[in-house]
Amino acid sequence: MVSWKMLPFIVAVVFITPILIVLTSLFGEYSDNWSHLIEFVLLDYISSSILLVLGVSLGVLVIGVLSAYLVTNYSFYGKNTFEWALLLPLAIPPYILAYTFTGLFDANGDANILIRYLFNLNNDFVFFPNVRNITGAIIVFSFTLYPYVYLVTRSAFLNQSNSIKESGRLLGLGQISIFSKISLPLARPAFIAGLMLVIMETLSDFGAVDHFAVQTFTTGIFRTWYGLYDLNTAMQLSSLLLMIIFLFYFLERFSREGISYTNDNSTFKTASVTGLKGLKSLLASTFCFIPIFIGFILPIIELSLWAFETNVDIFNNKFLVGSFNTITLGLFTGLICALLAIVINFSIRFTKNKFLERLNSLMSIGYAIPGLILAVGITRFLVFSDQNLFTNINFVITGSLVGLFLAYIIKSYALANSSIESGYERISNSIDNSAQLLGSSGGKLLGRIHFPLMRTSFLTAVLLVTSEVVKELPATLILRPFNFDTLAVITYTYAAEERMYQAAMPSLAIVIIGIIPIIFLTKMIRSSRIKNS
Amino acid sequence: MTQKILKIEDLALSYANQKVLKDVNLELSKGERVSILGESGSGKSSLLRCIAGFEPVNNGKIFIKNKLVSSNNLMIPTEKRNVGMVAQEKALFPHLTVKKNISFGIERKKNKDEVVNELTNLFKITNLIDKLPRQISGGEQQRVAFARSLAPSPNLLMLDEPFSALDDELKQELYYELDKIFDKQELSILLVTHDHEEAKILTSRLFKLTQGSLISIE
Repeated sequence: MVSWKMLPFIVAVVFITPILIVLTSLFGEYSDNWSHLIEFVLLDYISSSILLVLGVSLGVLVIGVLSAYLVTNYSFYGKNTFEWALLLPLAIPPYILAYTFTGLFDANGDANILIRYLFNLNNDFVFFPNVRNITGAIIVFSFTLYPYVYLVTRSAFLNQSNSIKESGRLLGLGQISIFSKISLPLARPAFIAGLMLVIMETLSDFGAVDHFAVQTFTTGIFRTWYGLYDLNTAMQLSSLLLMIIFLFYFLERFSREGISYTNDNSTFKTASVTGLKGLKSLLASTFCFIPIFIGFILPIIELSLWAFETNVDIFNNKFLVGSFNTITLGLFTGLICALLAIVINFSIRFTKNKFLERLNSLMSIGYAIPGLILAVGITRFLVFSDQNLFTNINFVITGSLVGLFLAYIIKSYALANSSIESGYERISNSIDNSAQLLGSSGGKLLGRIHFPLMRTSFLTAVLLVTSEVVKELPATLILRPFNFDTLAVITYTYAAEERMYQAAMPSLAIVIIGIIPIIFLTKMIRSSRIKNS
Repeated sequence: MTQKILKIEDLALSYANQKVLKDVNLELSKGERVSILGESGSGKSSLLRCIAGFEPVNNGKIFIKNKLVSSNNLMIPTEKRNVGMVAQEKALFPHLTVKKNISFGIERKKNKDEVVNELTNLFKITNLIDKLPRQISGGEQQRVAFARSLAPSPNLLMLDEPFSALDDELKQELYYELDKIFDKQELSILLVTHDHEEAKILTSRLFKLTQGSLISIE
């Protein structure tokens, strides 16, 4: 029994160590760079982060909540397609939409060129406003991250019994009042949970804010480390961001606990769908189409044009090696995460130990930690290990793939765990009892019974983690071995040099792989539609 | 002459070519209490949903206080019919306290607090006003549902098997109290149930809905 308890414990220690290393920096010495940060830039980081969070929150709430309400409660032209297509922007990492936006809307971007061509205007005429600022960043984050709000809010609306809304109508409420006084307050815990995820993603981002030259914590951490070469101050700055993120993480957890109250009534009545006709139907369709167009169709068209309508050798050696590296890293991380999740969940089930259950939940915190902060903590951890374990040779693990894998595993474990957890929920305890009565317990039970039954969940976990790893930029940028490129790094490097045509193909490849989790989510949505029809 | 609260003329309703209601005729005067009995799936709840304005009718007419509210080419929205309904599922708003649930339909009325006080006293739920629906028992939730539907003084109160989830002892207690309340407030009641005894206790006229048609039985 003891051995089954040890693995989760060891893994938890490995997961939490880099985070603790970052936080302990707060109790160390503070350099002159820290005073410089406090005096000159910290206020900028805080104010632009607040502005960014507020703007993005407003954007994702309007798009996510209203589109979820429309597709759940009304029938209009294209509604069944919008239901899953509204998730497509999830496949576009914010930094790729940011690159597309500047390529489109800069003074010499394609959109301005098109306007000048259509209206026969001078070359110095600029129609679209500059997007390389905080407003541009807010738009980019809103249109790539709103699916987090849409997904959970749609589910909350679906779970609202129709009898509650009918009671509202009997008590004199019209359609708008039912939305504002009943449906919206009932869905509040759900969309707040989604919003917290969005805020965490926004605060964690590095690629998009760096491209738009917006001063936030992540760009500050990066500059302190790579500009001032001060890892300790970068860690102290990371600690501040980490504490803010923890606040949102716990708010998200707290909100999720409240989601259950939406289904308080013992007798559930499926929501009735109101048919919209004419102008109303057109308006609803347009409202749902805009976020899909800006968040998915527009970047795909622009990237495809850049990739295929230029003479650039798109399938060059750099792209092929980068793709191979990315897929290998992704699949390998996926396999490790899925294996860890299945063994840890098995040990929780087998030992029925509540402490292990809480430990497993704590291990999922990695998804909330910005890749950049993980990279900071892991680098310090690896340097320490090299200095103390391999005293004869300089830097054995620092700069190897070990750090990169560690960052990916910590960041993606939550995805694998949720897939394996839901897989385990479908295996009845009586199956375990029968297997144990027939002499299969421990490893035999896992290998002969659970693993074959969990193949689909296992595969799902591997694919979900792979698609997440492919998108990860800051951790890869910092922890990759010298001269080791992935698709995200190639995209970033080209975009930083304003070579958008060369950045297009790796970006498209990232988006295509990013569609994998959406296929799973779409299946979920279809099955929920069948259950509710 | 007593005022007509509800008048249904030759009502017909079909779902996917299946006739649920046909040629239903019914009249209800102020203060009158009527029951509609019938098996599960006989169309009892559909009839109430037509009266409430949740379902469009295929044929026939529904009048509330002599005003046409439903016909094959007219459908006055539910919120403008001033009818109340209590069903088995109670449908209390889970995010609002008992007090806010009861005052929900009369938020703009000046005597809101007075009405809430009167109803909470009437239904003996004054001690629950600050609680959320999930913090009170099933029987108490049903009392709140009744109080909430009576708050806007509806023209007609429809009851769709509201007691079926309660135990026998609680049912008897509620029958007795409701009977007094309905009398005192001179309420027009349309009760749908499959329980003959319940119908006899709470109402004076009984109908049976079989194969979509309404037949007077007592």
